[in-house]
Formats: sequence, structure tokens, C-alpha cells
Amino acid sequence: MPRACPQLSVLFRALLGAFFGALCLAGAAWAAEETSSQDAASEEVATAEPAAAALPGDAAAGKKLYRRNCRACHGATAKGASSYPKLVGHPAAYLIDKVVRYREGEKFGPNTPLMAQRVKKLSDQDIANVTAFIISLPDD
Amino acid sequence: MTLRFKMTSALAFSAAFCASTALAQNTTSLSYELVLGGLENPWDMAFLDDGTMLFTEKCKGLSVRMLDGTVNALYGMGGVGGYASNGDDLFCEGQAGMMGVAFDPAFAENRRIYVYSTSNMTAPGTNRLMRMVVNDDFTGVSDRTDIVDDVEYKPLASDHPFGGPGAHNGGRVRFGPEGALWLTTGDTHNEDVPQSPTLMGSKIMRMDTDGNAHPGNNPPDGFDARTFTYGHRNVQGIAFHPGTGNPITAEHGPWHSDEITFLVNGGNAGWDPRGNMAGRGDCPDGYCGYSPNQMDGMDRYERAAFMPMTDLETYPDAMVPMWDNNGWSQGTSSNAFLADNWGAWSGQMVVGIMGIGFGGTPIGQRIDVFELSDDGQEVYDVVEMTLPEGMEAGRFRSVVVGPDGSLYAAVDEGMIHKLTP
Repeated sequence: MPRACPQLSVLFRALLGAFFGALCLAGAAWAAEETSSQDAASEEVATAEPAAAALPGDAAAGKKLYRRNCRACHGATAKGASSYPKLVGHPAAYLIDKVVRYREGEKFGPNTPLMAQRVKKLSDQDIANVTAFIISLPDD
Repeated sequence: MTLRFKMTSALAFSAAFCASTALAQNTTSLSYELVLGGLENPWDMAFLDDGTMLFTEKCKGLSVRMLDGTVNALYGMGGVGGYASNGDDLFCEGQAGMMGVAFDPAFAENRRIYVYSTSNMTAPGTNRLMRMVVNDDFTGVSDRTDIVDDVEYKPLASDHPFGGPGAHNGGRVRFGPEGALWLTTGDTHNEDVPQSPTLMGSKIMRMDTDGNAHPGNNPPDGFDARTFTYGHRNVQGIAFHPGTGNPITAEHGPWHSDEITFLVNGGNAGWDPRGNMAGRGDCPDGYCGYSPNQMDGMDRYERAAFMPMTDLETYPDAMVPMWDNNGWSQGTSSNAFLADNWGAWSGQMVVGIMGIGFGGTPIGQRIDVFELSDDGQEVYDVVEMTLPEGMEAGRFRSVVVGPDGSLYAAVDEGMIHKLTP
């Protein structure tokens, strides 16, 4: 069967190639980011002071993380709800300590299984960011 | 003339088509109002015909919102300031505290209300259903009588998710259309409670306003006569089908299978979290309710096979739920039937879902609208209510239809919303 439009086919393949190429690049970048996050996480297990505590936090980036990972239980204003504790009113060091300990697999409190799953993929920078957002919220 | 007719027809068709498309897309045009904000874990509401609203806050107590918007704090938990009086024995811990509330259907004559709360009057604590009398100007209550004083409370932490003290109290209090008083309870993380004939957790209780068993209850021999159904896990929702008057419950699942169930008098809901039965061995602290693999995610159907929410193999006559949330557990709380001012949704059932994101489960905070069969025993369709602009989804603890036909929704985050079609 003759091709109706060979030029179009070539163009289509080129576009397809470019698309998958871009996808691979994006995937590689994502994988690199994941790896670096995991490396960072495994390195800090041995340190006494969480690495996240030394990083400057970006509250705007932290807000996005908070909305996705924390809001449903702790509430939009981080004042807590039901048996999920209030987060505002605590110093940054307290919040970071808790999240890092959950990430490292420590079990404390009845909500550990929920917290452990939510924080296991957070990098130190993620933790610094989400903490910066929480401490920016009013405690009234 | 013909052209005009055709254009008019086309416009009419187009309008009708768009209208039906709009319905299909669930693009409702609800109006929205924040009735109360800044509350602490509001748990339930109850209305008089004029709109006067009782509401509870889990760790604070019972209040009333008057028609002019003023709030009178009526009856506080032990040690909580600002209330006209306090129940010194009332306390909150974990999921426990002050929960359901209801007006007596004959309130105009007897001024009675009913409130369910956790109490330490007797060790190690119980959940109690209290009857009280509200004074004429709604500034205080008196004559507290505990008409139910024996619903279990979980006093100690255990090795389970949400394993702190105070777990699984049920807590909804409602009057049915025939005037009986209904109370829903929970299993308190105690494996022996659900199938026990005498422990009052995990039951749906039907009583009179003195706490006596309804004469029509038909539980198995040996059961406490207040039992309408048993074998539940943690029921926080009960509503009455408008066509039949039959109770329909909304119940939390463990890490799987929230349930909506059309109750059968004397029925078993089939929850039995004991170890060393139904193919299970030992479980953490004797309670298999979150097993297997209770602290980590896994396939919800594998979980359901190991620890069914309704165990039809062990209990073949158990009530079969009419909805199981597609196998997910997302924290199903209360349910209610919409009034007749909701267009295509008139008379349909709404269910508040609080959201639990665990082990890959979508969090799922929402209000679902259920289309049921005329006999109320089958779910035809479920759609998620599109929330109006300005209203954010939250932990929908309580949905109640007010006398004006609006839907009032309390979220744990401290707000009571009002949705009006």
C-alpha cells in the first residue's frame, strides 16, 4: 500500500523522537533528583543535628508541599484537627526534629504509620521549606 | 417563519442540552456561607424548626447558636471555662469527647436535648448519653440524666494505628421518624466488643428517651435488648431513608472498605476483629482490625480478604453493605438526606468523608451524593458534590440538613459551613 504522505511520516517520526527524547531527559532529571534526595536522607541518619535545620526554607515552595502532604489532617491553617496535632506555635527545630525522626523510621505516637508514609520522600530541603511555611502561619 | 421556528427549536434544544450537560458535569450553583468559624473540632449539630442550632465541640462542650447569631456556651467539659455549667466528669482524649447531639421531637413541650460524651464518672471511663433540659432563654441546661452510661471507652494505648486512648466511640445521636432515639457506637479497638451480646460498643441502639430498649428491637437471644444491630466497627453516621423510614448507617472501614449499610432489625454487620479465627493467627494486642501489615500500605483487597469489614464467610447472614467506597477507607463519617429543594438531588443521601491518605489511598475529602433505589436498599449512583467557590474541602465530620433545607457541614478544622441550593 503506497504511503499517502511520506513527508508527514518523516515529520511525525521526528516529532515523536523529540517527544520521547524530552521525556527521557525529564525522567533522568527526576531520577537524579530522587537519588540526590535519597542520598541526602541516608547521609543525615548518622548526624545528630538534622541537616534540614541548617537549610534556609522557602515558604512558598513549602506551601505547595504542605497543601499536598499535610493539609488534609493538620488543616489548612495547621491548627490541627481531631486526633492530629496542632503544628503552629512550635519552633522550627521542633517540627524538623519530628519530621526527620518519622522519615528515619522512628515510631512514636499513634499516628506514626500515617506520618511515616507522608514524609518518607521528603528531602532535607523539602522539610526546611514546609517548616518555613508552617512557622509563617499565624497562631491565634 | 419556518426558519424562525427552526432557530427557536435549535435554541431550545441547545438550552436543554446544555442544562442536562451541566447536571451531568455536576456544576452545581450552591450558595455558601460560613456559619461559624474558629471552633475546636465541631462534632455535631441539631436544629429546631426556627433555625436555632445546638452544636458540640469535642474538647470544649455544648453550645447553642441563636437566630441572631449569638452563641451561648451551655455545658462544658470538665475544667473548660466560659460555659454556663460544666460536667466535671466529661473529658476528651484522642477521638473521644463530646460527640452527637439531638433535640427531643417534643422539645417545645419538654425542653429536652440529648448529648453523647465521654465521662470518667466510673473507671476506666465510659461513653454516656445524657438527657438535659434547656432553660427558656437558651442560656443554660439542667436536670442532667445519664440515660445510657455503659458504652465502652478505650482507656489505654495499644499497638495499632490511631492506637491512642479514646479510639472508636461511634457517637451519632438521632431521632428516627417514628420517634425512637438512636445511638451509634464503636469497637474501642477491643476485639471482643463487636460480637458481644452485652458490651454496648459496636452497636446501633434504639431506645426511648429514658434509655429503655425499644420494644420492637429484635436482637438474637441473650443480647442487650437495646440492640437494633451489632457487629459494627465504628459508626459515625445514621440517617433515615425518607421513603421507608429505615435506618442507613455510614461507617469507617479499617485500612479498607468504608461502608453504607441498610440496617435490618437484629442484624449483624459482620465485623469481628478477633485473632485465631477466620484464618487469622495472633494479632497485635489481640486486635486484628488493621491487620495484616497494619503499619504499611498494601493492596486493599488483600486486606479485606484477611480481615473483612463484613465477614460473610463466618457470618453468612450478615447485612451486606450497599456501598464499600470502591474498597477504600477514607474516613466516612455522617450521612443525611437532602430536602426537596435540591432539584435533581432532592431526597438523595449525602455522606461526609473526612479523608485518610494512607498507603496509596487517595485522601478523598468530600461530600458524596448518593442516588438510592426507591426502597433505599441499593446504590444507583454516587457523585461528588462540587463545593462552591470560597469553600475548601475539610474533614467533614457532620452533615446535617437544616429546617431551611440547607446542608450544614462541620469540619474538624473548626468551621460549620452552610450550603444552599
